[in-house]
Amino acid sequence: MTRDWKSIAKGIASDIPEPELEKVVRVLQALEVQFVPLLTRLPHDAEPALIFPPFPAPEEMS
Amino acid sequence: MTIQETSTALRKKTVSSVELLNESLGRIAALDSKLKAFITVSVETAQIQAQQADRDLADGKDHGPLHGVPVAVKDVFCTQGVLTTCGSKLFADYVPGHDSAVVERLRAAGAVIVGKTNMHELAYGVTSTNPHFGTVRNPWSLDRIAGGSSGGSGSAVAAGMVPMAMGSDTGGSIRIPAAYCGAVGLKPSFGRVSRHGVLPLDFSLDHMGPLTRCVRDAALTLNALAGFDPRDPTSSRRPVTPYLPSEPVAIQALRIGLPENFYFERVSPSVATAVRKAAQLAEEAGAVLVPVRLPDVTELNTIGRIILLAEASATMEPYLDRRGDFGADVLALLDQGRLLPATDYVNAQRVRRMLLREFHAVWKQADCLLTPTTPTAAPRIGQSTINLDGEEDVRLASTRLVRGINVLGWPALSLPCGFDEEGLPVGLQILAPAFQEALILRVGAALEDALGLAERHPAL
Repeated sequence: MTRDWKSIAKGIASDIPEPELEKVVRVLQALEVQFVPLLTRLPHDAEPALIFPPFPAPEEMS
Repeated sequence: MTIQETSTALRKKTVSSVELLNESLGRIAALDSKLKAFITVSVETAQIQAQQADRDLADGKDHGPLHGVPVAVKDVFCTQGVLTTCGSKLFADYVPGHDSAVVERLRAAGAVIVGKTNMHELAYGVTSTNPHFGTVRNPWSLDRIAGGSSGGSGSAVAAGMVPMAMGSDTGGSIRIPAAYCGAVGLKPSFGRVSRHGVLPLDFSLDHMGPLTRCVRDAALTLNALAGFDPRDPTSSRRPVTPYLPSEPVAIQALRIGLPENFYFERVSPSVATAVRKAAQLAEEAGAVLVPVRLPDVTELNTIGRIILLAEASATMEPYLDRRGDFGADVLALLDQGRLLPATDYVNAQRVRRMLLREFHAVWKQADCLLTPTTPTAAPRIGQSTINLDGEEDVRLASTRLVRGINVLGWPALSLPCGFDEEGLPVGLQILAPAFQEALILRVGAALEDALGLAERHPAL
């Protein structure tokens, strides 16, 4: 399912002028095509990367 | 002169810090109208610092290798009492009341801060064609970009204005200008150098590091900068090791991984040839070249873009009602980030963790990796695409080989490894596991010695 980026923009960023929005939407559509398939590899219990502390400990990476 | 040469000359009293500063200021005065490498030059405060450095050295108070050396910092680092614009109209009049941690450490190491370097607006881009402070130009060819976002730092170092200038790197912004300008650029591990007092772009991707004229100068600078800072919640408590390689530099039996996939694809032949030649020199010096197959770097780049878009737009949201104060390219990126759902950001951070594990497995096969830094040498100012087996946006091409490393938080070093057919410098990138800066600096120093390019500078 592809997102309707223009409707999202109308809802939360209506100040983006139409010609600029066209370009923004093109970029987001292309990014979405790359990003969404990655989510199929994500285990249900996957945690986000730790930012605080910044880096997983070496023992966690082994 | 390099930091090492300067440091020796100061202690032999063949030159004073004031004389070094005057030389630096003279070069800036002669060249900066062309290069636009600086936003602010702090003549008076630098003179006071240089005089103090000379007095301290005469009194036997030696603060180390950076003592009395003129340096510059990207205009993203807060400097007490000195304009800090972040290359943006939003901060055009911002004079901080405090120093960033990096500036504090440079001052404590006795460095003389000459000024603040120009950059891509808000550190959000790779061309340093800044609509508010002028386009930074490449000292090797004035019609070429210096790269970005730390373009002013790359240009200033390559032009010999200062031997070291600090940069920040969120998706390649130290390494890209280093490669395009023929300088050395070090992006330390995430958490190694404090981000305190740096105007943020991206909380989980921003890294601070030096651009220098040689690898050993990058090591000396990191010695002064590395260490825990409780004011930066991402700062690491890992002990700091000495970063300057022991002489003679040895890389015998070191396993240097050469990626079989991604990094040599859609790369100009001159770049690939220069990097492979450097690898051959490493082998001749006793290293073992290991072909390595990496997980999908494209996935890493995709995650990096989503995290960057979301975090940067969150950071800049308070200013988004001032649309006229942004350059068109930066505004477009901020608009893209505004529209991303929160679920995409969280899921990107989840995928990031998954990819961290997958990429970490690479270190079972090799001790470090050798790759090109950028697919081509510096593009022309105003050039929007690069053609390498198809057209690619200059911004995506320039970041393609470097962006993912910010997602992983690994240390990365870019150093010159040759020139393309037009005489423009080409950079290679050395990567290692987190907090292995000493290793990449050792390999970098060995390659720099073998390549013999450190004495080649642009004719300005």
